[in-house]
Amino acid sequence: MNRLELFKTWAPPQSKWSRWAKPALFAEMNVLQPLPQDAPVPRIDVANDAGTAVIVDLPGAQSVQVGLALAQDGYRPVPLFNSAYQGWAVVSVEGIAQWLARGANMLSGLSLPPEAPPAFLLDSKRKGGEVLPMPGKFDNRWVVVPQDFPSYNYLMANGIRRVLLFHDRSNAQPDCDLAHVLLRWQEAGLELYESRLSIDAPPAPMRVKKPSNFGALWYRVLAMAGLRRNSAGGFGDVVPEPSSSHG
Amino acid sequence: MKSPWLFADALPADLFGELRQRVIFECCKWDPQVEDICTLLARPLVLSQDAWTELARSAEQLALETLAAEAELLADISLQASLKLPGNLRKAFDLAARKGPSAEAARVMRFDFHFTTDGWRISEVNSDVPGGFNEASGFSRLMLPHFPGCTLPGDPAGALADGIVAATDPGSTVALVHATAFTDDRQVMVYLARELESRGRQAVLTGPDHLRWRNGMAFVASDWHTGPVSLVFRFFPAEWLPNLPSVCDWLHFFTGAVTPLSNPATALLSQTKRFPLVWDKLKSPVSTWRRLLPETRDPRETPWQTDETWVLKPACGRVGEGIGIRGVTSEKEWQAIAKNVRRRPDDWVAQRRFQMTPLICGVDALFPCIGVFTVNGRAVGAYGRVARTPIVDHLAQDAAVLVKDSAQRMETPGSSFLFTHESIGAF
Repeated sequence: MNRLELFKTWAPPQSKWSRWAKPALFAEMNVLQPLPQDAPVPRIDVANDAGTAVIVDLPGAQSVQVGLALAQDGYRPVPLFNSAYQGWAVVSVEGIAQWLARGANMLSGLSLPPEAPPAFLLDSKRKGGEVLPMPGKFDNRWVVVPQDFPSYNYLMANGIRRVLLFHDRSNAQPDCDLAHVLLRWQEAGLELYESRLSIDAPPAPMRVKKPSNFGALWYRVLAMAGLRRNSAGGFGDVVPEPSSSHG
Repeated sequence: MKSPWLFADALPADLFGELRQRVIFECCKWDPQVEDICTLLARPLVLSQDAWTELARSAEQLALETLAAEAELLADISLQASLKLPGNLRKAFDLAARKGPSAEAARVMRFDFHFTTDGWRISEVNSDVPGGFNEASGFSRLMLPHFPGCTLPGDPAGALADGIVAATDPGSTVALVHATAFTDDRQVMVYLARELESRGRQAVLTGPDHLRWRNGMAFVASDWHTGPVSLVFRFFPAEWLPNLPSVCDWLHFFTGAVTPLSNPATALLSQTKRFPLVWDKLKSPVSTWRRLLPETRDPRETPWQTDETWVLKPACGRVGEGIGIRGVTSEKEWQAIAKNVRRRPDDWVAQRRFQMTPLICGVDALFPCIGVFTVNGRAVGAYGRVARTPIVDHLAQDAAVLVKDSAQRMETPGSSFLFTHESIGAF
């Protein structure tokens, strides 16, 4: 399976949500062999609800694994990993790439219908955290912006009334960049729910608090500028040089 | 006024769907969707040969004038006062004036043309880090076979690679410096790397913080590559360079680099939208600029608050972000822009609004922009974008630009696409 075939498996043209799948990781990854179609993948107990869109904001490969589990419950996993694939990276995407490849056969075997509700997959480690952004490392951190997702109008037109966020955060509030996305939807009228994977409890209603710069005219530019600053030496700060006081 | 282009029918959805995926993987187009908008337009912008010739000639003249103006501004920093550059950049230009600019090669620019009720006008030059290579070269190339009788206006990515090759030794390494965390930038670098590698050069994709300098020679120091480079291609805005750690010695982008730069950071002198504010002080004629760019003033010199014929633009704006046009920009955005202009007028310009002539396509009014690339002063291709409003911003779609000589009808397998000179209406 080559990169294009793999991408088509995860973003089949007939799905109404495939347009939002991010190709960057697929375009550069070293594709591994898919798992046999009947290979075990994790299961989670989520009721299929055509009116619910899911956002999976979990670390690395776990996000893909949960996406595959949701696929078995009738959701269309939509990979939004907007990261470069390169060695010596600040954000490890190896596990994500492996599971995208490993799950391909299983996913295509499910023959999900075009109207299957979406499960957008994010890496909760997208802003780094595991590897210090030391000098010499390849900075592939990333953020999401509202333009990475369908609009409220598109969601509503396709029957989506609720959004369920799967996460592993200690509090119920989403990460700041995702909060910009969710608050727009919340203000427009979508119902939001959150569920911590580690807690055996039904999804709880969520009210997203206003993040900084919400609604700012230049939010998208600011977010992108943040990324540019990353590469110029840190996420809102300077990447410590060995000789600097930051060590 | 006769429209300069022939507007072709869109490719059928299934055919375009296949092509879209080829563009993603063959042309490194990794941002094919913005919110609900497919960033690729299913129909090309087809220019008449005469129109393309006119645009190419104008762009070459503009490039020539831009280089002359930059040289003059660089030599006499007193001329830069009206540009209102930040202090750390002024210091860099001061050094460059005293010590001479860094070596450069393969100078690339992109001039953005719009067809208006008064003919062609430009809105800006992207003389620092122009983008659009993947679309202008790759997307257009994939669209071309579906529109027999057309040709490409050029291959900007190939021409840029040729320019870099001409300035470097076979087998040598070229640094492609970019914001690695930003996949929209990385896709351009990966595409250009392929072009360079097909021409016998090694490309190393790197962040600006991995570049080091020794006696004016650049080398890369990163975990994935260490060694000297024969040319530095910068795809990182010059105004961001002062944010780099001091060990990166970013001043070399202005002065002291022996390793040639494409582009040198001194391009900022013409990249800023305040560039026209210094024209009256220059000896260099900027007659093509004066003819094609609408009147541009410091906001404090204009009645922009009451006169709707003035457009507000951020001096360092890119891709149409932050532009304020009364009646087009939402009231909320306009108020935010107006507040910012009043607070920091040095960061803005006021420019006379021009009346773009939309292409009427069914019920849609489309506003095309043709970005003409020049490499070393020669026009080498075009990047098309089409907006649904007179502001061509990040929500605009990328369009393949093709050139047709004189025939009005083109046949394609399975269907025929009727090409007509579009009627144009005043907006």
